[in-house]
Amino acid sequence: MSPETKTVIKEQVDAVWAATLKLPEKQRTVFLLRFVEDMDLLEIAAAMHVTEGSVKVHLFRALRTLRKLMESQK
Amino acid sequence: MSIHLSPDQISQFLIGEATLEARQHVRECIDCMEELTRLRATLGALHDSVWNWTADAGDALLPKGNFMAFIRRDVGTRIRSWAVAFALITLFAIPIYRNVHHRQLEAQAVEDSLLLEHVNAHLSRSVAAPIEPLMRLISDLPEEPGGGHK
Repeated sequence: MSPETKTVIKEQVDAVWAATLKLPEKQRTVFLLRFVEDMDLLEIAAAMHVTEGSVKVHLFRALRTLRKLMESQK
Repeated sequence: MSIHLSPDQISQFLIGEATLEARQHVRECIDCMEELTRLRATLGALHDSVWNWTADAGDALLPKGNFMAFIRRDVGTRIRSWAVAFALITLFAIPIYRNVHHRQLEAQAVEDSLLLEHVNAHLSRSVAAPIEPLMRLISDLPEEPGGGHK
């Protein structure tokens, strides 16, 4: 991987992380459990004592918010 | 599907909730495929970045290790905060309640004593209240030499 590619990836990760910190608590938790802990939706639902549908809603909102935040940071 | 996937459709894709129509579109549309690949790569990079986080990076930006531990710690902190808040409320509210209650008791005692005085005054009358003016008239009359009033 070239240094330029590494820099681009690092910037992307920084942007995602900065946007993640701005998410509401439940959205942030669901997002991190899904994309960092690699937990599936049912596992997340069990861990957070919510329904799978609720996890999907939070995850969907988290991704939508992240995309908006990342686009505004561009 | 002739137009590209909306941001919401792409988000649905990422959580595994894409429709058959959307899946079909991604197979045929290079732009949407690239967008999805780019997002997945970014999320993958975030994942790797967290898991490869070195010890000297510090806790300020990313919590190290297992996120469940991080979440449990977060929940534990919240429970402790509630406990402290409850203790503070108890510490301040109970003396205030006691003070108010004490004042209410004092006011009640004053009221009771006034009522008691009133009852005592009423009971100590020798005659009924409506007859009192007549009794005063009789007592004001000069006595006759042979006893009795005029």
